[in-house]
Order: sequence, then C-alpha cells, then structure tokens
Amino acid sequence: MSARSRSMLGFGALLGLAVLAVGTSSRAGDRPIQVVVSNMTPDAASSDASKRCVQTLRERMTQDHADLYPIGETPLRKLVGHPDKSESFLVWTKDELVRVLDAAKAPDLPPALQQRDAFVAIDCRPEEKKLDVLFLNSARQRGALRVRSLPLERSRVLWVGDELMHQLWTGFSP
Amino acid sequence: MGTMRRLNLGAVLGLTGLLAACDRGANSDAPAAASQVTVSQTSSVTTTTSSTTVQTATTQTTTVAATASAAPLGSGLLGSGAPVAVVPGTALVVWTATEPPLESEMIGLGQVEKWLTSADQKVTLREAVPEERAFIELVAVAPDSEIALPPTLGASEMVVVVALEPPRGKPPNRLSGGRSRLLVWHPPAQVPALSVVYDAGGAGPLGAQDLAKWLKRHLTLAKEEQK
Repeated sequence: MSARSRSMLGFGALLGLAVLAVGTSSRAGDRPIQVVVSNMTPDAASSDASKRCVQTLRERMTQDHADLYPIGETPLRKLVGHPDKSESFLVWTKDELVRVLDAAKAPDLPPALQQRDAFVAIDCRPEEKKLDVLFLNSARQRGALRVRSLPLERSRVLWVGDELMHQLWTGFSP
Repeated sequence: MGTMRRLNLGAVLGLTGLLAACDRGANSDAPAAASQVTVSQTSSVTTTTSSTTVQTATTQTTTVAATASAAPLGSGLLGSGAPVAVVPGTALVVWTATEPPLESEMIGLGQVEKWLTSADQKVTLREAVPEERAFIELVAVAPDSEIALPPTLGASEMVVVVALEPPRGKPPNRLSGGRSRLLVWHPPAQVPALSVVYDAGGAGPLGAQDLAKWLKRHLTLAKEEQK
C-alpha cells in the first residue's frame, strides 16, 4: 500500500469516526437520563394492548438515551402519600413527585449516577381510548397529558413518547 | 378561603371544517370555506376558584398584533371591535394581560395562529361570542370538570383552548414559572380529547411553543387518520 493510499485510508477512517460522532444524539456529558417509571394502568384494565402501549413508550424513552427505573404502583403511592388506588395520579403535585426522585436513589451506584432526573407515570388503555401521563422533568417541572376518545395506535403513542422525552430532557444537567 | 388566581393569556379556537380543510391541503388553490378571519380582543381574567366566581375586565385591544403580523388574522381587524357574524365553529379569541404582554410570550400563540391560518391548513378564525367566553374562563380554571360546550362551539369540528397562567402572586405579565394548558375538543364529545398541562415553568414563551407543537402534531395526526 502506498503512502498516499494509507493516508487516504486514514482520512476515511477519521471521516467515518466524525460522522459517527455527529450522528450520535448524545447529550451534554454523555450521561443517560435517569427516569423513574411506573405503569399505573389498573390490573383490571390491563390487556395486551395496554401493555404494548406502555412498552412502546418505554422503548421510545430508551431509544432517547433514558435509563429506566420501574416502580410499582403500591410503593409509588406510598411515597407520594396517596395510597388510595381509586384516586387519579394526575392530581399529584410537584413536591410529591420530587419525593419519588429523592427516594429512588440507588446506593450501589457511583455518586454521579445516583441521581434520578425525571419521573413518568403512565396509564394507557387503548380499548377505552384513554391515556394519562404524568411527569416531572429534569428541571423539576410537572406536566400532565390526557388523551380521550382518540385511537391509541402506535403512531400516536410514539408521538406522545417523542414529546414526553423532549419534556424530560428539559433542564437536564450531567 | 379561595385562591385568587389571575389567568393571563388564553386562546380558544373553534375550528369548523378543519380536517376537511386539511384534506384540501394538497390543493392550496382551493378556496377556504367560510374564510372569515375576524377580531381578537384582549382582556384579563381574575378568578376565585373556590367560589367559581369569574370576573372579567376587558382591557387593551392591541397587544395581539404581534401574533398577527404574518397571518391573515392581522388584516386590520384586531381590536377594531367591529361586530362580526358568528360562523359556527370558526373561532379565535385571545386573552392577554392587563399590561402589554412581553412579545416573546406571544410567540407560541403566534405560531399556532400562523400555522392554522397558513395556506395548507386554511383554518378560519372568528371572535367568540359572550357565552363562549364564559365557557373559556371556566375551563381555564377547572379544565377537568365536565362543562358542556356552548352550542356554537359544540357545533364546531374542533375547539382548542390555550391558557397561560402566571405563578401565584406574580403580575399577570410575568408568566415565567406559571402554568400553561392546552385543551382540544372534538364535538360532540364534551370531554377534551387532548389535555396538556405544564406547571411551574410551563408558561412563558417555551411553554406556549411547546403547546403549539402538541397542537400541530395532534392535528397532523388527525389529518392522517382521516385519509
């Protein structure tokens, strides 16, 4: 291989690396966002469709560099101080949600990774055309989304996931 | 004791024929049905949530001009106060602060207006009638309650309310840190099909723009589902 060829090869490799670097949608500090997630769909309303819906949202989140930390409804309600399962989680306040993030720290991780950045609760019932999402983003801002009487096909769920991740990253700091 | 709140900025859009108009999007030369773009007025709303008392003070009529500069809405009609025939289902009302709002705070609403009135969407806008305003004021403070849509809005194909609220204790033109809310109805359903709320920081330019984005994608998806 000539020197010129080697140099071209090297340049190509560098270019490829640069393209890879640009193509990666990494965020500041390259740390995944740490998200506490809860599937709040009641057991009675749980179905294959509802599970698919929640799974679609979860996949969308992981695609956008989120590390997910599931929490069950019962311990979650205990944390926020609303144990009554008949009560909608959409009424939970920001301060109550902050308690979830503070309590969900992982002691086995290095300190830099112990923080939890965001919280998401999901109740998805495609058969009833009903989707509720409550979130606390990285800036500790609370938001709620409610969909009624609209088909919850994959396209709409993905759209919700897109917007949700956009919100969760808001205020993120590595 | 009731919690005094001041609702700052809000918009309602009742959209007749929106989806049909979307279907016409490919043919931008097609005339827009009932394309009457009319008056927006501004007012401030003070509410006492516990007693559901709503007081409205009509104030300035010029501040939404910033939102209208690039859209048909601004064709000299803003604040004119001219009586306009109500076209059921085509509505736009903008509430804003008693003081002139920051121009940046209007960006999100301006985006909605501009997009809706674009050649592709061909949405027509009109002033809300008094009973519609009363409805808007109520749902803005109690969005989860099942308040029936007024008949004129109930005849719409779609009704949209955007409400921006400053933080408690802040002047009405200080939206940053406040709450922003988007509600979309598809009559005859009386419950909003889409409801988005951002608390504590959701209001202000960013919140309004986010709401605009939600609305756009919602309508785009609805258009695709119509096909």
